[in-house]
Amino acid sequence: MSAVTTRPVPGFTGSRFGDPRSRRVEAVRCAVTLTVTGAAGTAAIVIAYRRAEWGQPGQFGWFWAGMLLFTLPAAYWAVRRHTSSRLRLAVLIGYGAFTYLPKLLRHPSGPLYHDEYAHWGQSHSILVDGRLFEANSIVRVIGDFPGLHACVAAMAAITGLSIWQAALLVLSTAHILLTVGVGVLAGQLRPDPRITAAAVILYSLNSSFLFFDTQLGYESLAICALVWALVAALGAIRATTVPARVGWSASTLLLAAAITATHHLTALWLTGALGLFALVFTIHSVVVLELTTPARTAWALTSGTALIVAVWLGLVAPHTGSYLDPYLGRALDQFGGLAGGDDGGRELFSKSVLPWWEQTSAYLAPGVALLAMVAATILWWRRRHTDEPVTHAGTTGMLLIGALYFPATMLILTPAGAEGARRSWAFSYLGLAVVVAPVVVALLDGTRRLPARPTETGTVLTGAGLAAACALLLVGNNAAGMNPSYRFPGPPVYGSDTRAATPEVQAAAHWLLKTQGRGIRLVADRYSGLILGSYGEQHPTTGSATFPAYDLYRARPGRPISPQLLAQLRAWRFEFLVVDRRMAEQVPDINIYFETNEPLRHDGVPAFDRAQLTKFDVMPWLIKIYDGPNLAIYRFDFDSLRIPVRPADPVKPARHDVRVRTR
Amino acid sequence: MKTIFRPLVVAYASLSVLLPAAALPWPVLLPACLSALLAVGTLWVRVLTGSPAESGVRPARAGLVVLAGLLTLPAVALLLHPFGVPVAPVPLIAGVALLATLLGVAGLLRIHRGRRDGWGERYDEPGVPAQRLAGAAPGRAESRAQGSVRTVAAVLVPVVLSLLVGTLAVRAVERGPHPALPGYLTVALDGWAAGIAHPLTVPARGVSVPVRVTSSGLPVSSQLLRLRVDGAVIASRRETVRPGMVYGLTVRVPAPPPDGCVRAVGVSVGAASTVFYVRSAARQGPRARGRGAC
Repeated sequence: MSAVTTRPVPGFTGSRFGDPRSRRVEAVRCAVTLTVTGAAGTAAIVIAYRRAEWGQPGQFGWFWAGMLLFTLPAAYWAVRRHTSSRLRLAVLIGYGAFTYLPKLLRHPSGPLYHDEYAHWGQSHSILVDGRLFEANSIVRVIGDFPGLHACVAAMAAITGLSIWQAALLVLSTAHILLTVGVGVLAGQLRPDPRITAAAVILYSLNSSFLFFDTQLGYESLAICALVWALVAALGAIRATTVPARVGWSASTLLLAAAITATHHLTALWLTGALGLFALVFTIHSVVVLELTTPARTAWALTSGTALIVAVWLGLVAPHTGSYLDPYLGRALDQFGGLAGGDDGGRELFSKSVLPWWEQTSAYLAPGVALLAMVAATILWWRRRHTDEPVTHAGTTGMLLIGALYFPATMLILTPAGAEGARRSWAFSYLGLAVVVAPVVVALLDGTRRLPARPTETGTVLTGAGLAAACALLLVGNNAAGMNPSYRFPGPPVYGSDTRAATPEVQAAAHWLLKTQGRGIRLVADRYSGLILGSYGEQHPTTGSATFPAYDLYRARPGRPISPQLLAQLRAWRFEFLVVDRRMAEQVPDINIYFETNEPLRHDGVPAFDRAQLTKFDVMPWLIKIYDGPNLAIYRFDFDSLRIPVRPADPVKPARHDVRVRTR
Repeated sequence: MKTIFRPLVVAYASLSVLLPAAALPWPVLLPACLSALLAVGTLWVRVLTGSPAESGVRPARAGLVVLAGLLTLPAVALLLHPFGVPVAPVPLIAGVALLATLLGVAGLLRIHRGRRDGWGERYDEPGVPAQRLAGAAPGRAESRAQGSVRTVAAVLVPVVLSLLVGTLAVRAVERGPHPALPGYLTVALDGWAAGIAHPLTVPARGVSVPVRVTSSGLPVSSQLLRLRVDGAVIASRRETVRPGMVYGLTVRVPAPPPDGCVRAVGVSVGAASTVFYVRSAARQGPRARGRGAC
């Protein structure tokens, strides 16, 4: 008989209280409560977005009121002692579905975030051409990780849904699976249903849960698979029969392969997490001999996963290292500089529109997390003799994963490391949530035994305190982790990824696609490139250190443009140049014109003047085929590079007509 | 055996509905697709983790089934890629059917091996001891069915309620009033002129160049259409431009002097303009031919 049946089954099992009739009544009460609060919360979020869109104040308050209106009752029902196992599962599924709404309602009709344009375009390209591994011009490595795009495109191809509809289906399913998966993972270590529910709630407080890991991005699918891969890995580590161990190990490795084909960072995190487990189990097995087989299993899984990741990164996606390296390398350099007293750090919330209470919560959140981790460590230490060996070793591994949150938080002080730090929290919070969840339940249970005050009062006070701490973490983490322009709608702003899709740019992208076809190489700024590279189905480049396409714009009128750059453009068959004249009038909202390493001034003054951007009108090797209030499109004519510009010379007027027809 | 054959039949039936030849609408195709993927996901879990006793509690099993089903589509697409098979409905459906068959065979082999080695489908349910093989406990099947129904309800009820609330909210967002976005007036070379890639050779009678003017989100305005050659305005006309309209203009460009020089021609509507370059098609005189530059 399988050993799994001889121990308490991990996960959402719950003690059964009351008769079936009372359970049904309880389920109906829960459904009514959460439906009403969910509807009210959703309405408040819609109001928040509408106020932001119309420039009215109060969007932050409305948003969090809406979120807390649902999440607090849901947390109550999930962590409540007498909730049945199925009701708890239903509540957590509902929680997963509700927490998908803020991103969905932010822009229900299509891609909005920077990476979403890239992933949408990549999926659309697969649907149209049927080819995987095509290069993407907005985020250059995503073509090497086609898991999400293949999933979305295949779903769209089979069902007839649009790419966006198929993406919503895939992503909402992945989000709910992630929510449930965290609970199952926690249940693999501690089969207490309340702990599993508390782990889900705690994990949902991380900064990526509401907006980042719900977007059309490869991490959204991969992180869900990562959680389930860890579930499978712990299943393999726990298994005591060979068939069970082989089955769970095969599941882990297949999921590892799926993750590797979907997202580089998640694959690396999975390898690291499994390696950490292997190390911890090995160290524990020195004292507890029965952990020898689990340790060997963990090493086998780590090796298998590392091999899959290494083969993929080496053979299929060899450019991933050079893509990721600048983020971590520069961040560590800058952090070293800060430690040495350099003045290269970031000023947190500089010119931020966030209300004071969000900013304060963001500063307090790491402190609260630290307190929670200290409590979790104390609990882990106190239970070292009573916990089952696998649970104790597994909790040690999770503690170490959770502890990574704190050094990553320090990296947010560096300009290069801020993004990476934010992105790491979705992974480190997994460990934090799993180890802090028993503390939450222990606190709730502990107050029931306090002699000094009535039991109910103590539980209510503790519950209220925990709810307040959770609310603070939810608000603070999101304030620290997500730009307000990503969270709330608003009027079009130049230089904002989420507000770049003005009707003018969309019309230009549509015109170019209609008249010139798709798949054309062009030079553009970051924001025009987003739209032209996605809806426009073109291949824009914004330039790089080795291909400084932005030097076209930087050149002073009358000064020559680098022959090497022109040769590169010609050799690589670039056909169009897109010029957004707002670059000479405004500073981008996120202070980037082309790419993060651009050699341009970022001191609050536009990096270009108008002459630099209108000089193309008198260059015979550039044909201006399209023009609007801000955007112009030129066709390269490299054969005419040697033709000089002819000075103005009045031509004798001849007969000419201007006929007009209306479409 | 039925734990293998049942999902296999469901998978085949659902995949047959998905074939493009049936030309069914998405409300039929979507449930069929989900059903096929869930069936294949069930097969994955059955093959990999074995009997339900070994695949943990219901949420774990159900989650793995859904995830495996979801990842089946990209897995099939990636497996077909080395053979040069594109991501298209027929290859995908055939690939999923083949995968389901292979999983079914693997599942049957696993059951067979389990029986041979003394573990397997006999122990399908957690906690069922071997000595009960002679007959199931009375009422067990019924309670198991009820339990399954309740679990399905626990999954579906929150999903349906969320869909309901979410759909209403999405409609409220999409149909609610939105602030007007900035309008634009654009001018572009149209028709054959949109393909101008080199200086245009203009015959002596001149050339008619199609131009497209688009106005959106702006009030009705009177705009000056201008034709410039080498920066000098040689013709202009005032036009009324209405919002939401696309105007097709034809601009007659006169022949430039036959001096072989390239001249800039600009067509502007208001502040927006296009620029292209022309040279004369007429034979150049000896003086012009002898000039190195214009």
